[in-house]
Amino acid sequence: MAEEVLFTLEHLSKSFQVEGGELKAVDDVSFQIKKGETFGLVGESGCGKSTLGRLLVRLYTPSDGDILYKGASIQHLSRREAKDYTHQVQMIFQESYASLNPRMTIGDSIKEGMKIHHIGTAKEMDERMYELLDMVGLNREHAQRLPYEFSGGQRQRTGIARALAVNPEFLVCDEPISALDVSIQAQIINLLKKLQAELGLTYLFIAHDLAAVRYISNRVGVMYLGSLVEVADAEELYLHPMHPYTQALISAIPKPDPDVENQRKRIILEGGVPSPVNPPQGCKFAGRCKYATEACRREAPALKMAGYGHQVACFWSERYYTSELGASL
Amino acid sequence: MLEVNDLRVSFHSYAGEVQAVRGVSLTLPDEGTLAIVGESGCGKSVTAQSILRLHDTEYTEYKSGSVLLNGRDLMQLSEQEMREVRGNEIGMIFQDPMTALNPTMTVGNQITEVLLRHEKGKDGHKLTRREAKERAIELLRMVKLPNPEQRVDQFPHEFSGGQRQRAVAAIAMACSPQVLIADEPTTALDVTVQAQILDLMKEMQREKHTSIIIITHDLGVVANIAKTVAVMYGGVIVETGTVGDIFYRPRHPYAWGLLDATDKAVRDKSKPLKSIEGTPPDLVKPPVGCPFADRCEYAMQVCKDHMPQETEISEGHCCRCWLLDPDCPVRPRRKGV
Repeated sequence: MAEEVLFTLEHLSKSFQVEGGELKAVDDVSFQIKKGETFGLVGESGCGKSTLGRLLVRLYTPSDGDILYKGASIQHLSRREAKDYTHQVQMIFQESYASLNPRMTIGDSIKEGMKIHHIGTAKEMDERMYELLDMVGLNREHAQRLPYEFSGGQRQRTGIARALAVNPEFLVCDEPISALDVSIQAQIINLLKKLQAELGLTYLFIAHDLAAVRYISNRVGVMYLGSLVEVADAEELYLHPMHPYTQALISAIPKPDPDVENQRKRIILEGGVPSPVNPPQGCKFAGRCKYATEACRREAPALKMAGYGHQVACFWSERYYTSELGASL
Repeated sequence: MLEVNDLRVSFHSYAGEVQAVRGVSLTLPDEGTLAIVGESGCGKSVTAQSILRLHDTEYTEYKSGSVLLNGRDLMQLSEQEMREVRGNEIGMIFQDPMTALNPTMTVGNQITEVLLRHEKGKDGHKLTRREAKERAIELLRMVKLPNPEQRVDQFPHEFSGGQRQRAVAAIAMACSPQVLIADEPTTALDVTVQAQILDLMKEMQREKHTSIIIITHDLGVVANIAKTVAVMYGGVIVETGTVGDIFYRPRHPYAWGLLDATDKAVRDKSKPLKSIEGTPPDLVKPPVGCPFADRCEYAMQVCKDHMPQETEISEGHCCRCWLLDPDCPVRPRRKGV
């Protein structure tokens, strides 16, 4: 099967003007999202992963570079084209409470998108709304309720139903489970997987929970300070991380097993992420990387192929990637 | 040693009396680390905050129970006496370091505030401001904040999330308390920073011989730091034991569910994740029987009608479940992780 590419990001950048200079939230990022896959995006707070998600749904406009959706740029769209685009590309937010209008019933919230896109008559919209409630595992009686009457998990289900109301092809899921309890997280992930299989959706799944990303994603990208530092198939990335930052990130996940936790070696990164305002020259991770050399501080390494479907932006990854972690991951 | 006996806490809300904690007993040995785990609304934070009596008395009722710190019942102390306990004998680290810190005060002043309140100088005289500031710098160095001499005069907004949590830890540890209560100390932080903070807590424990109560919903954090664990659900402790008991020999179906739901990692991707269907009970009208009965795949009629008693499985490993009753016809078992 030829893999159809849904999104192509070309040297995408987004900067914000802040006090003290220019904040480069997304800095020269290029990758592709294939139709039907889940592309996971991980990294610490402030690494630009949410900004990237918002660029894809046109909540922000890029400062530089381009986004191609099915081969055509999504910049400079006419009003009509822009509306068509939002019909196909939707988003689920982290804060399910903030993303719902507190004074609108759940049913009306779900129908809002259909009204904007003139999908069907009032009766058809009601039918579709009930169908969506079934689909995301809510009761039909829930349609008359208001968001505050719902638990976090139920609100996130509403957010999903709302996004699906206009039959999109692509969903940006921005930390959809971080605000939920463990037992509820599993429910939402299972729901997203089920819907993907039934409706043939493509996801960009943004999260800092690396275990969840591993489970749901086909491919995963790792971001650090606005740059994409590594992309690989999910299992490949977790078993053979090449970038020193990815290695540290994966080694920092605590395992729910006390004996493993007592024995394993961790790569503890010193310090914190430097400020994205006027970031360091060269490789942005160099300041915290124990392998860093003069060359790393002088020049930023480009993302390049380092194995089958495995891309990494590091000068030294080939030399080091097997040595450090061994069986401890 | 800290001992909580039969603690019951209710909140009065417009919807009625929320019975947040319904008879909790805990023991924290000297230099022990106890993790209280459970989902939002299970009463784990309320239990911890009740130890320090942090709730607004207008809406909160401590219905019964005692909190014994070295044999002295904190529940019987006056508010005045309680102030000597808070920050001095028991320190606390909160989930969100930004709201825990005062945005209009320098970090240094927030540390010296605690020191000036509780501590004395070397020969017993009142601590001077200069001495307090020196100690504050020392504390910031202990929590591994770079350039403590400069950072001491900065405001919380000039700190990153991880640095703020280090500052909060410095305040909590300022008077070398016997007990440190950490309420979701790493939930708001990134994994790499979380690892740093957990290491810091372990190091402080080694140096100062503090005992720790950590509240968390993350079983990875529990496995990393805890020695004993209490699993809470619907305002009661359903299972308690050593970290080995809970992870390798769990007996309560809720503990099984939590372990299953946490284990997202290496499972077959084609199979759905194991989740616990349903939602926790409403504690305005708490169920008369086992609080987990509604979501439990093994629930019997007796579970819905009567609260199970605590059964001791081995020394220190107790579980509240009808499946452990000698008359129970089924014996489902699940191995740990």
